[in-house]
Amino acid sequence: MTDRDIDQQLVERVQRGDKAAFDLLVSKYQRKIFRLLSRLIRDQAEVEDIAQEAFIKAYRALPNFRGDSAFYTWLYRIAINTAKNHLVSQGRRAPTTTEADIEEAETFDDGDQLRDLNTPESMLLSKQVGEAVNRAIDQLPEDLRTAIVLREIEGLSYDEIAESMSCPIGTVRSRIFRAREAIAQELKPVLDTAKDKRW
Amino acid sequence: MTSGKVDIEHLSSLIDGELDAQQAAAVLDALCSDAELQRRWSDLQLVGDALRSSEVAACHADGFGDRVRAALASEPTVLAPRRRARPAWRRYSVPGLAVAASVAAIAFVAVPLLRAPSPDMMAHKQLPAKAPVVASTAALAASQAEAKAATAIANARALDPYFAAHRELTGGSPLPRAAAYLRPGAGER
Repeated sequence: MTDRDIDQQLVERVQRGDKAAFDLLVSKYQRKIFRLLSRLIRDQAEVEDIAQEAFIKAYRALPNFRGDSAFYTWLYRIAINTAKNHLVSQGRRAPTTTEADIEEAETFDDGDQLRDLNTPESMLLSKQVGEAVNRAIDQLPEDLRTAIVLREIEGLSYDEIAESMSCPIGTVRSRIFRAREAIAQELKPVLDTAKDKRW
Repeated sequence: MTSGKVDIEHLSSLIDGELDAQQAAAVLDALCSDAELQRRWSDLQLVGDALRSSEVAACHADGFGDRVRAALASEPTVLAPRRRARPAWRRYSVPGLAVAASVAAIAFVAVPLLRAPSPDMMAHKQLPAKAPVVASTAALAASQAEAKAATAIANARALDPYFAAHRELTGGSPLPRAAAYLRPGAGER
């Protein structure tokens, strides 16, 4: 099953009345939506509000989503339009483009209307995340490091990784999972996640 | 490592698209009903974002999922109307009828054309068994075409030894070896 298939499965569950499936989509796409909206809206608190509004709008509109496009491009379009409506309602000038299309959603670029993402704070946090990931990867045992790099950086399938590492596919699955757990532990202090979370 | 009935490693495999449909459905079933699995799913998605782009991961807002969940709680549950399944006979009969109609249309146009004799054949048929004193223009043209064809065939046969020596260059075509080298009017030179 591809990533898009999994999203479609989750969408169909939401369409059958399962709200928990929508939570999974939110946790999967929230950061990408934040990043997209951050290019339109300066205030971080507003970004979160618009993101929430966009997700709620998406939820309400999901019965009409037929899967003709990928879920995330559809979601991006809703987020962009929500942001534009917000800017107009605030009497601020919305970016020139009136209709967001797929290209716009994925590589959104509206010239001078968009603010620069590279504020000192965001650059610092991004740098810290990058360093934490690199540190975590460096500390991994070699077999875990190789497995996660082959998967995430090289994009190899589990079959291909098993072949190149001369090990069973179950071992590959286990190594990749353990590597991700270790990286999650290293990211914990950087992203300052809530204490009730596992990490 | 398991949570309930699902091996948590399978979550990681699900994210990588490495489960078949049946396994994925089982993991998704568990995910939608197990809060611990949902937390793990969220963690693994964050790690994936961090590995692919530190900028995206840096956009993490703690507690956002909880806020959306709380907002969704007051929303009426959405239900998509069930798509009305088309009857099976309609699914298969309509394309079948379309194919049959296409075949019939082609046959209607092509069969009369295939049955109609060519002008050359007509010319041959019109020739009487005994040669007339004055040949008609059509008969003359037919005999000239026949002569050209005979010359071309003779030239082709003359090339046979050459083609036999260079058989590997002929490409194993189902056409006669010389056919590819024949050009209209080649025998006139």
